[in-house]
Amino acid sequence: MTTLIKWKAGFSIGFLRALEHRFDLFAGLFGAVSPIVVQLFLWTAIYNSSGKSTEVYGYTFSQMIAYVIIAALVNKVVNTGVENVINEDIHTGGIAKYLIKPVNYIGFRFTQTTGQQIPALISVLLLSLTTFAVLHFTIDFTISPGKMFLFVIALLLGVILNFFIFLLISMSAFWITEAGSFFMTVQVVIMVASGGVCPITVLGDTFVSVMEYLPFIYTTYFPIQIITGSLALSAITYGLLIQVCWITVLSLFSAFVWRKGIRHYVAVGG
Amino acid sequence: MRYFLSRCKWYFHMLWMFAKMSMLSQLEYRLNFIAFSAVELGYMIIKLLYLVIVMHTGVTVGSLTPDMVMMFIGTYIFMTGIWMMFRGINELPYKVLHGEMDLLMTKPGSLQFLQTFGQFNFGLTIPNVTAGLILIVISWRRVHIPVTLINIAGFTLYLMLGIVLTYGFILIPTLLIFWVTSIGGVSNMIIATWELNNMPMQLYNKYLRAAGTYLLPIFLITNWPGQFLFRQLSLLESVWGVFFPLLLLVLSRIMWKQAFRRYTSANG
Repeated sequence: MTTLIKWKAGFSIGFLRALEHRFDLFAGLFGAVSPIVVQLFLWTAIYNSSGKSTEVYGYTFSQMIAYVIIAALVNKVVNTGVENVINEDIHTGGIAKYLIKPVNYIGFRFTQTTGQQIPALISVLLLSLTTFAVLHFTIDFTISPGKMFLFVIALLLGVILNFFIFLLISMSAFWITEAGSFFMTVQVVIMVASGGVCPITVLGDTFVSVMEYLPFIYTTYFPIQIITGSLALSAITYGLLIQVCWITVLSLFSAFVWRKGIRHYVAVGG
Repeated sequence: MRYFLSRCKWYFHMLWMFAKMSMLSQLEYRLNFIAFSAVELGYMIIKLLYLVIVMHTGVTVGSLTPDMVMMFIGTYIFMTGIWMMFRGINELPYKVLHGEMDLLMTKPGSLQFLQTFGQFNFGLTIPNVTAGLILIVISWRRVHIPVTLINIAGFTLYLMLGIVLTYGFILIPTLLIFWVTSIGGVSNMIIATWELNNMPMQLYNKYLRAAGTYLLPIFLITNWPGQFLFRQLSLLESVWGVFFPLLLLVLSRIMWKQAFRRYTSANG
């Protein structure tokens, strides 16, 4: 019960902090607009030249347009930025104050990050619904309420999975002195590998085969696959199970790395 | 005239010194230098992804073949490198908020010059400029554009004007920091608008093209050099491409003077 109260406090802190900078939140969402605009025009030109009924990289025109828009929006939710917060905590010695408090640091950061992402999640869901409505009337794109529900579940699991991926990456700060640039590079590479820019099928079959054995595509690519309608119910269930498995594996592994890192950590200062 | 020339000489000499000092200070921490370059290489993957799609699908963008599109993407990557180079502009908000411009104000020369050209980030610039130039050269060869003096001069002129435009385009919104305490949202919007240049303007519809050419002329930065080479610039567009960057430079100067009047510092 005490743990739940602490986590609720962490969640509230994150939620309020996100609302503290409302303009930044919406400007950040605006930042997703230009890649969408570029890709909308690009894919329209491609499908116009090859025929709108044909499949390009395994997607029809309506599926591709839906993918591009939702990918840009989903990216805004799954990228939590927790790695920078933890990096700062480690390097400025801020983590020391959590070590002497009766609170689990990873649990606190997890609930705080989840709370912080709620306004973005709500905005993205509303924008997604608007997008589906617009796509339905313009390019005859349809989605069932059942798949929408599964998409929300997969998206939430994607946020959690992404949290643990970046938690593990952020803990490299225990051993690396200048980790900020390293995080930025990794973030961009993961964004491409997770299908956050465009479908990973663009990068070839070999790349897709390799990525299926890694957790990245289950943060962005898999949730979007649910709503673009290219997955059967059995494949969706399998994907959700894989997401849960990856979350379990990565959470256990991050707890192990945390114990190793905290032994290596030295806090200096008053 | 002699005074003007001697001042110009002094400023060019200072520019060279600043560039040399920036390079030396960054090479002092080689790992950071490599790390910055690695970040830009990461972002370049996204920029090149569009090129991969265009080349793979063989799509024609307006009247541009995939080989021609490469010229525009190359110019965009090159210009992104130039933007990254202006560390003085990118660090302006921090310096204003923390009152760290006091010392600079006591130095001889234009404060705008000292701040905006005083520091360069070569770690972020080199990968972009190199990759951009490689793509431009490959595209030039594949489209079989004659290597004549007029082509080189015209392309270089619009590239230089693009740099002037980039300078004004990033400096003017950054100057808002003299009026507000955070320009994080504004920065996001600048980046979002800048990213439209990742593809040639011919990709977009006529309304977006008109807005990006005359209303907020960001398309001039990366499209005009290539359009000149492919003889796709009208007389009006050619003149506009020369006039607007110079106008923006003057505007940025006026705005700098207005903005700096609001600078206050309480440093000890």
